[in-house]
Amino acid sequence: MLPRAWFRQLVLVVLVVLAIAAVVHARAVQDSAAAVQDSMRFDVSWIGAQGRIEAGQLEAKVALYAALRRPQDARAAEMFYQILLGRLDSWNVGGYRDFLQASPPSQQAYDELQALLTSVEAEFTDLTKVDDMPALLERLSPVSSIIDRIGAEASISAVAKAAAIRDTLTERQTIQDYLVTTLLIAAGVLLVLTALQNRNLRAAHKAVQQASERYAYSARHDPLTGLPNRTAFSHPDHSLFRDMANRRAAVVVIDLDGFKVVNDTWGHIFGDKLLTAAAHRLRDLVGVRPGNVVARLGGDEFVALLNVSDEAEAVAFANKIIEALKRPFEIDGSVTTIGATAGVALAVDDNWDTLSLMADADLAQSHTKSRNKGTVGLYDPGLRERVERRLTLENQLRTAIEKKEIFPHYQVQVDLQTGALVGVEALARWHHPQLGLISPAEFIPIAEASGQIFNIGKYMIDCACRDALRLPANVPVAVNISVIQIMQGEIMDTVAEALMMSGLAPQRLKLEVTESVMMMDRRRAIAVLSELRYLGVAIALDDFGTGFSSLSYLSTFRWDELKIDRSFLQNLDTDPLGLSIIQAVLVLARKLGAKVIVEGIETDNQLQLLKKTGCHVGQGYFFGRPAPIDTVCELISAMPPPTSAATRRKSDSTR
Amino acid sequence: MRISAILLSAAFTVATFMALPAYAQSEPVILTIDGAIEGGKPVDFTMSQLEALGTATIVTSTPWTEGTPTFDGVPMRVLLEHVGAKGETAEVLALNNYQTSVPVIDFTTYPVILATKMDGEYMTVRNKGPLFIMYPFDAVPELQAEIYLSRAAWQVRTITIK
Repeated sequence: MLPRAWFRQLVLVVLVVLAIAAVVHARAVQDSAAAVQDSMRFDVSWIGAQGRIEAGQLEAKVALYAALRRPQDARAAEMFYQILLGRLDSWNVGGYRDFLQASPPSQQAYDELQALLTSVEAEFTDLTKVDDMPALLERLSPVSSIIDRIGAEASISAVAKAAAIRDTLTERQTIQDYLVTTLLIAAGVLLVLTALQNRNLRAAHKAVQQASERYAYSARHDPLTGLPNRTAFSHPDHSLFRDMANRRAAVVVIDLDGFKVVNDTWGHIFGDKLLTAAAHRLRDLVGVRPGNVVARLGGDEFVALLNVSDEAEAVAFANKIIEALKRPFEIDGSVTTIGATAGVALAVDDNWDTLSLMADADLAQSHTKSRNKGTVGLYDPGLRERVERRLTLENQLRTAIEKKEIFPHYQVQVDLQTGALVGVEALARWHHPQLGLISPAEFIPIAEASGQIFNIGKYMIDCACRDALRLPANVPVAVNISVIQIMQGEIMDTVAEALMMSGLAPQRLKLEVTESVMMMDRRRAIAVLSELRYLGVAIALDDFGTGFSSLSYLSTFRWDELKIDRSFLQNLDTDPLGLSIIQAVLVLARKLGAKVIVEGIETDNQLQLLKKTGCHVGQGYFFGRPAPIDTVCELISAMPPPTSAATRRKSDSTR
Repeated sequence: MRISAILLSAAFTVATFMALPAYAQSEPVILTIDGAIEGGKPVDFTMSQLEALGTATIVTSTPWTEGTPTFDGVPMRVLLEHVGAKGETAEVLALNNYQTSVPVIDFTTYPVILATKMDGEYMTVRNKGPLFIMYPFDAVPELQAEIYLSRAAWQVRTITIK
């Protein structure tokens, strides 16, 4: 390779050489042209030759007249005398004069000729008057030889001049030869330089191309797994799908379950190896059909574009992917197992857009992950609506409490035997200005996820404690609290403050928790619940009999009340099994010293059946729907007052 | 147009011949044009007959004259049109027996004249007269070549159209 500075200098030298050559050539051409011009203009010998002919004519005419004495010959001789004089005149101008002046013998001959012709001027005025023609002829006889002398000199001069011109031309020719050689050499040098430069350029071009290919690759690929990245995935080859009849595009978003734990436990390097192994498994599985692509979206999230015939095939393929990822990975000699959750979205026609399909699949995936981890969820348009509704609710939940859109309704709990009021349960209601009444089953999980549950919980307890004061004395109020409230521990302060502010006796407040509270951190849950119970507040186990239904937690905490889930009452009329379970729970509760409340009593038949089993307390639409405190107060005034028996039973059971 | 020009020139020729006897003795013939011309017979010209065709002027230097003389004379194109020349070459013969051959196209390409006067004077035989074919050498540099110089004949006497 030629250094750049060298190349520039060489080019400069070549340019200078070319410029000099151009100047020299121009001058040479000019000189040559001048020499040629010279050779044409002043051919003195040619003019001399004409003079020689004219002199001959003169002598011939004079001789003819001398012989024949015809007047017309005399006139002709006189005319040729004039012509010859004219010739002499023309030798006295321009190039011929230059020649004469340069050649003394010629000048001498010219002068001699001039003198000779002048001496016979009188005779040639009228030749017919000349008697002695032979004498005139004799006098004219040297004319030709004088002209010959001049002609000879002119010829020598012309030859010399021609030689000089030829020399000039030859010299120029030589110069031009050199110039041509120089130009050829310069052209050769330039060719070589160009070739070298071309080679450099080709090398540079190749380097740039390689670099750009490298960059293009890294711009479209995930450096860790080597899979295409999100950018590359967003621009697939649609034609692969269009060209195949009855084929549809499906996007599967795959999220590894439990990867974070692996990463935290075994370290990032191990995590990266696991991701790479998972990526290879995905690639081997997905890449079997043309048009299929698998990419890494980032983190432990992957996405596959599948070429399928229908929804069932897409879901089956997604399940195959999940199963493949669930198989153990052997990394660095140790075996690790993780799971994966997938969301599937299918294109409805040929005009699909990867990004929106990906968004749909992602939605299905995250929705599935929150409910059925480790499975495949299929996107449907309703899902987006639900998610959007959830987002709307989540956004508006914060202000809903301030605007008093969320408030408690109360449902009565009655003594099944006497029909007397034994308590009320506060149930949160959200009356949304646009969406109407929203069930707690919908908005409480949202509140739990967004942290708004603390505000709602505190508000509900405050309201319940305050409203309870409007109820007959000794009628307790039950409030549902969330697992999260217990785990955070803030529930203690909330309850203590609510009791203090309202002045309600702690015995009249009952807190209901679900089984799931025991699933999280049982030790901590028991500590908090025990502390609450120490305050004098009663603790009820809500929705008993559903969920994970481990009986072990019944022995680890002293529950005041078990609330049998409404699901056991649904087929009470026809299914004796439900009744048997209720009876069994009653026996169990009696041993544990807990009261039993049956939820969801809607018919008299249910009531009669439950009465026979010896159930104490129930609640449900049969006794009254949840209603604002004012309405409940009116309802209560129409009910039998709480009997001492009821009070006695309560005191019995809490013993 | 062309026919009327020929008729006109024919009428001129007739008039010239009719007038010829009156000038025959006082003015000599200085130019004869023969060869391929209208009527096929040689046409003679006296000085005044030539000048009657109209004149043009060329101011130029030549290798044979001092300075830059002014030449007046009949345009060769006009002269040849006048005699109805039908050839491509004009063979020129001079008094000194000098012969040269001029392509007729020269007369339409350049404003060549048959000069009768140099610097306002009629030219004598000694002074290259009475007729001198003159090219505009100075005005048209390409004419400054041997071939054109050789066509500029002086002491012209006869022009034969071939």
